[in-house]
Amino acid sequence: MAIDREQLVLFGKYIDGVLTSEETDRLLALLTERPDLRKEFWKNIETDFILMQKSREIMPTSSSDWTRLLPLGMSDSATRPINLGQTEPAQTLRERLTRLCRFQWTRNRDSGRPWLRGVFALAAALLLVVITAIGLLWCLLPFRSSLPDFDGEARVRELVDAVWAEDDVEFQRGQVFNENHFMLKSGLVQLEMKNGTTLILQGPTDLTIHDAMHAFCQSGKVTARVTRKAIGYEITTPNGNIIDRGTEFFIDARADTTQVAVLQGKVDYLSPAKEVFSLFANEAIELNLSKMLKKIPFPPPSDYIDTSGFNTTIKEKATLARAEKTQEDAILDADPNLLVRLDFADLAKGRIGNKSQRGRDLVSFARSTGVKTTEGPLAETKAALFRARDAYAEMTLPGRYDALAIEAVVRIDRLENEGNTIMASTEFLREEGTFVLQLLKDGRLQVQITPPGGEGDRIFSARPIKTSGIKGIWQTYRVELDSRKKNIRFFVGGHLVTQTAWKNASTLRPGPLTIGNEIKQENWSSSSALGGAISELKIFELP
Amino acid sequence: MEDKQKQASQAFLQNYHFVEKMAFRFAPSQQLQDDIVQDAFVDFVQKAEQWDLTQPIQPLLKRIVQISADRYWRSHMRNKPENLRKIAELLQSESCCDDSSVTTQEQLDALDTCLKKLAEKARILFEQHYFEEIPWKEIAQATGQSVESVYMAGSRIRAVLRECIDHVTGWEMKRGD
Repeated sequence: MAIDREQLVLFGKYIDGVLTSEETDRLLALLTERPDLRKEFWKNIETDFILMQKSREIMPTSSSDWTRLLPLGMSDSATRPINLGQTEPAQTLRERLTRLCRFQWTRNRDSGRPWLRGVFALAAALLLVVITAIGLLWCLLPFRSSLPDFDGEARVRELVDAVWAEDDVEFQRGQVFNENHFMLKSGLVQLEMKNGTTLILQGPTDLTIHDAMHAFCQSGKVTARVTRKAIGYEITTPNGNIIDRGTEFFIDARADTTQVAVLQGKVDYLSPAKEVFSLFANEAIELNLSKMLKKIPFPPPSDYIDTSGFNTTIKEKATLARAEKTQEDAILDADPNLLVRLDFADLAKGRIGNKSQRGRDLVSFARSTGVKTTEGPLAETKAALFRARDAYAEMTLPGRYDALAIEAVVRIDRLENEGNTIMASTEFLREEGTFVLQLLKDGRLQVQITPPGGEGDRIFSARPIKTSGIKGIWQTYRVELDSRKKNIRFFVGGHLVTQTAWKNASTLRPGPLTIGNEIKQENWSSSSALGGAISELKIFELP
Repeated sequence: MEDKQKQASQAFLQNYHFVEKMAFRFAPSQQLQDDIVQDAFVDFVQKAEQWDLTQPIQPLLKRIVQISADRYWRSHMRNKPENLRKIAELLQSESCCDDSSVTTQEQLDALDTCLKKLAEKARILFEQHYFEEIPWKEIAQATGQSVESVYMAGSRIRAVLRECIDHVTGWEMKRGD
């Protein structure tokens, strides 16, 4: 497969450990979407490893050398460093240069030319003065900005609620391009040219970037901030060209009029009749269909956003995201025993997310099939609706546990099935054996454990709870399985309903878990599919 | 006991490239290699009495390396930013699925052949970075290229070399693709 330039650069930067935060996001997005790229990525990294091995060549050659390499007495701490005959690593360029400089200095000193020291000192002093002067001048230069470092003419720098006119068009933050046509339906997009010029597009806007110095705005609102390096930057509109002379300006191009407002510096406006009008800061003009040019009040009537306003918007958005994340982290951190928390809020593409910090390392995947989204018990919460007989969700929780609690917020809509399965597993116990957690038709909450061989189901259940109220009502059901205390406890609505002895209790090994349905060998057992919804499912490790 | 440990050490050395390859497969990070191999060596030699060195030891070494690599990998990833961890997890899922039977020695031998086929400019770039250990950024400064161009060139060289190595070793055939 062909790997494009951007991907090759990202591979190289990852191997070197110099990816920026944006580049890390971009690489992750690419690797997540494309399994073929992951293979190539792995091959590139493994090849780097092979090349490093080639350069090191570290095998010792004889057994007598080898005995010397053994640690002194094998009872010594394993942390004693072992020399595997590694050759001295090649010196870095910096080290070689440093040694060379020292050698030269020593040589000069020893060669009886002490006056050379004075020459070096004077040169160093002059250099210091020059550097300071350049630094001062640099600080005083207006429109000083560090040029962006990327290949290509321009890139997408920021997006705020961007919606594109075409459904199949999507731009990512950091995406680099040479020439591109942007049809922004709504929201804000900031583009950055390689010469440092930035354009803020306010949807709806139709803009084509030809290169780092030229753009065509068919319609819409664009704010341009032009760096010194890009003086002469030009935006063409149906009603004339705006040529920058080192400034920030705003245009609003419409079918019948074009407005230009200068926020800082100066622009030249070139009319279709090839007349040039210079505009300075806080001035605005409008050209209409009749080619009449007139001065208009500043700021112009159209709402516009300047660069500092846009930057404030970005900061507010980031602050809000951080606040939301902090709140979620606080909920998760509140219980250190929480292994898994599924809230089914995001069922897009069949994936259900594990929201537990701790469980993030444990749950290998979680997905759903035939499960729809429905409203949850609280305002603005969602739930997973298990309606079809073959609907299910599944996840895998590796590890072994002495005691677990499974808690689910469930709404039963139908009581035709003998059992409404909340969770099931085919290898829940250490020595294998199935596990099913169900809400029965008669209201009992039941745990069914089948040992290997399928003989003698062991059934543990709570006393029947009132069934008259369970249809259509959200309720919290919790089961605690404790192999140390050898008991199983059942809770409904936060209250202990019953507990029962678990004589042949053994270590729990959840493994693959099915939610909302029960698997009997290869066939779905439709008589035990959940007829309802689950809003939240949590699994705790009991201390 | 000492004889047994010497034998174990020699056996370990004979399979050194295999151990390194397994270490990298289970923990694909150059920084961890030495520590993992060192730990595996100490584990293997300390329990030398338990092993039957007349039998193939690669499966045993693989298991020992895997345990050590898992430990280091978890520790290494713990303090990384989340997105870097996710990239590393994706990488690890690819590396663990790579069950190629081609040995590292075969790859290194193939590399000798492939390096000769490399274009002059690419070979110079490769030697500067891998043999003279000049960082990519300094190579970019010295040659007047952008840093991105140099990183891109480096990745492209690796991709080309890898294609050649796989072709020479018949990796694709051995893998059954």
